[in-house]
Amino acid sequence: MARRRYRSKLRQRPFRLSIRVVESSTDTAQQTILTPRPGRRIRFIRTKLLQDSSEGRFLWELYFGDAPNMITGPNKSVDILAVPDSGATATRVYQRGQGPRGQRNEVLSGRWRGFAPTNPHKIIIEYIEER
Amino acid sequence: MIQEQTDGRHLWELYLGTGVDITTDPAKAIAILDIPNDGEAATRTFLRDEGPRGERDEVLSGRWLGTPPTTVHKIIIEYTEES
Repeated sequence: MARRRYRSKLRQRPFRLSIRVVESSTDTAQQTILTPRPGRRIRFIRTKLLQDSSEGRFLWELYFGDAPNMITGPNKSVDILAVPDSGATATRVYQRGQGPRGQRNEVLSGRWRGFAPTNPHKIIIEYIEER
Repeated sequence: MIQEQTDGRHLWELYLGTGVDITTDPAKAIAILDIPNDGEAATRTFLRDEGPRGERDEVLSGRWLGTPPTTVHKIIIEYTEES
């Protein structure tokens, strides 16, 4: 007797990737880099940070919420990126449904740790918005 | 993106549409590639149905950010077309 093929009746939601490019601040204060649409949550996928002109190595905090720094709310941390001189770096890529997720209406923030560069860096954020 | 002849480090914007640069419509951004001297760079690979998708008839654009190179670079694009 042939084995019946199992087919789930659950339909997967479409994956609508969004990408934004923003410029970093040039101080060590918290910077809101992404705000979800009203009533939505940010599901983080990946962020890349690029240094355009040679300026040395810098560390950059990435976290949810609008706290002044990453250690204020350790459970909202996403990553700390080390940007090399004249280089680029990125977080890892999270698979569908597996990335850190913010609260409803919660922003994504970045902050230079220790010293800030004098030139803005390019930030590329990949994410999806969820209800 | 591949740099064939020594030409220094350059940044290259990749986005959908015909905006003059990647910041014209931030919602159409795809990536900024950092091409090292005598080197190459690539975007990440997107899984099936998870990559950025353009509108119907919308083009894919590239642009040198800041200083362009003096020699041409090779661009290899992998994509699917959807109806």
